[in-house]
Amino acid sequence: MKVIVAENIVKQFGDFTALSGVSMSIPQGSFYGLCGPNGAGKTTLLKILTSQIAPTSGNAFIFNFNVMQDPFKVKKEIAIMPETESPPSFLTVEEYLYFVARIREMENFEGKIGEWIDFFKIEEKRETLCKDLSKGMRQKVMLAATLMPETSLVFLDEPFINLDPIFQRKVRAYLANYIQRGGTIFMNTHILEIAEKLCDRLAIINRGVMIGEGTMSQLRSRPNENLEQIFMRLVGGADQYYMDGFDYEG
Amino acid sequence: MHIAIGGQNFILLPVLILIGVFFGGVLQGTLVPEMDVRQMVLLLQMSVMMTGLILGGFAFMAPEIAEKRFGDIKLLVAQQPYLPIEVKRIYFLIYVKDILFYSTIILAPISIGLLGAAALPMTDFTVIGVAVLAGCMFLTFTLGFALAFAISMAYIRSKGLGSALIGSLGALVVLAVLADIPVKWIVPPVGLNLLKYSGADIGTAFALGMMSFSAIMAFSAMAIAFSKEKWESKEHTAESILDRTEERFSFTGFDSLLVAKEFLDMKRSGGTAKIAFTFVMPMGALFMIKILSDTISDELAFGPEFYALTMGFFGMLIYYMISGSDYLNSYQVLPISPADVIRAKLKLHFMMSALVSVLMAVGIGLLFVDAMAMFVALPIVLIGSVFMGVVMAYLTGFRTAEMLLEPKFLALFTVLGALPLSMAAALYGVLGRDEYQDLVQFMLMGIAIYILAGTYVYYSRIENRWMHESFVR
Repeated sequence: MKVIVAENIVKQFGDFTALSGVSMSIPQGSFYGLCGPNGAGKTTLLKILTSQIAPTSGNAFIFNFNVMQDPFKVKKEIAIMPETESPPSFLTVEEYLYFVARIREMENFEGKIGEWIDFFKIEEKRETLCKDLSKGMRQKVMLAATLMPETSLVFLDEPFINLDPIFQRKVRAYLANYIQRGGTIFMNTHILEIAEKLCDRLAIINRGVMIGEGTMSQLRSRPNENLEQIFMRLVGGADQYYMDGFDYEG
Repeated sequence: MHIAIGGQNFILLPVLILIGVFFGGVLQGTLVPEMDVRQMVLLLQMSVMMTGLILGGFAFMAPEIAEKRFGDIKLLVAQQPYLPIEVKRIYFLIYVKDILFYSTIILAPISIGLLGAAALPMTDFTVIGVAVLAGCMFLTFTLGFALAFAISMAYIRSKGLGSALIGSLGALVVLAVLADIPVKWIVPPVGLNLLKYSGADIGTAFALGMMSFSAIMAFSAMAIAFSKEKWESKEHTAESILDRTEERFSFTGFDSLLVAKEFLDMKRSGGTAKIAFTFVMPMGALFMIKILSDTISDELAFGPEFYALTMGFFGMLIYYMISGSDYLNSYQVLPISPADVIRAKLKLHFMMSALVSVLMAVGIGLLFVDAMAMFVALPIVLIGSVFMGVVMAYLTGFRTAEMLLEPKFLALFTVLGALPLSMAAALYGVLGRDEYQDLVQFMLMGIAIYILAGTYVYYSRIENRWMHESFVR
């Protein structure tokens, strides 16, 4: 069953074309990773797929719900971890998780809230107002709020960016387990090593155009090519356009 | 600190003011023949004083505005740790910029509008009179702005210091009134302006001018001196009570969770001070207008209905506070309807309006030393406040602060909300004074029906207007 379908999505912001003709079809149970340089259109695509913004043209469907016509139904079926948004300023951590649980009409959520506070080891911040949390803490709270409802499809926008290595590893393990239990994940990320380890399907987008999609073996042009090498090759002209002579082969 | 200078918005607000003042000036003799130019000048000066007080008072909420997002301070005022500049200097620049900005978009168009009216033969305005008014309005506005800014800065630095300053200044004004000191010495720029109509003697004019200048300089110096040396965010904790608060608001219906969240936002973002702000400011204005109008001109002795309707205007201030208590970006990823959020804000607005209206009605009762005035005022303030909140919510939703200076919003808000209420206030002002009583009563009835029906219609249309809006722009 295809849980995400995008058909020729175009998004323009004034004269700037953020996405030009993006199509994809993602089956249930996939861990789908979308990679691309800054400003390539990753977050724009995620926002369109999750009914946050409308495409200029094209169609997208989540569980067969049209993202433009049924935004409320789409948001009920999925969970979204945004790249930059933060939890409400004046709720405590515990209150925000309560808020999300009640909005999502979860049942028996009291125990779940405690479990996720324990998962991220934020017990001592339980009654801290969210506005006063550090970036990493806010990321943990947003991740907890995203994963707690256990929806069958989750969208993650740079979920690891502010996490320390311990929690990157812990969240990776949770996500892998979630996929094994039949969940589907759509993830935007810059961290190619994590994408390579976790994702069974990968896509690379550059300047609004999907320039590669498939499994690692489908994306490779030679044996043992890793995702970073694939990325550098596909983004094209990387040496000239982006690198300006600065390079590091670590 | 709280305004954006943008092309279209920057031009259209002053244009609207200019046109409004011009026609107000031209039609004044026809619409309110009892009011002479001197009385109009007095009312205008008091309005300008209030505008200065309110705009300067926004500094009171600077920490909440600066810190509410993400727990970081995002504004220029908070960039001091990263820039080689002192906070006091940034404050000073913002202070000067705000005075110049508001003088340009509010005072200048008023003056130009009145100059236009003065050029026509059917008005009583003169070019010299308008020039004197313009100069004195600038002094009055700056005095109000400086006073409110100084008190805000003192309060932010230390609640004790702020309270002491408010108490001392309040006591001085009360003592001055009790000692029968003429109002012109209490608000010197207004007194200076009124000299034009009561025979100016150079000595008094010079003394009032010097007093105005000295008061402005003193409050400005206090404003900058009291501003903080640096900004630091603190970590705040609170007992997690959203579940209990939701239960408390269960009478509000299915969106009690959102109402509870809005309530906690208000409470934790300085709610007590905000409620005080929405009450003290209008009441201060009311007392000032009443005392001045009674002292200086008997013809301006309006009834409690006039004051109650004027207070109703401040319902928009209550909704403004609730609307901007927090950013709603995080709602974007949740299955929440924007219309539900706006309705939740309005429900809290209704509750706060009820509280503030009772306080205002008591204030009006005290002002008139008449219990009946209190009972007359209460439903009028409440209905006016609720109506203004609903119109504001319908038009601006959760973007009130952003849309406040948008020409389209301003025009719609003027037509749908401000005009009917101000017409009702003006009609109450002339009720019992001229020969068109039947017409006045008929018009008042029509406006009352519009306000009641409009409150219902705009409230029920919130769903359609806002259901497809995004929480982020």
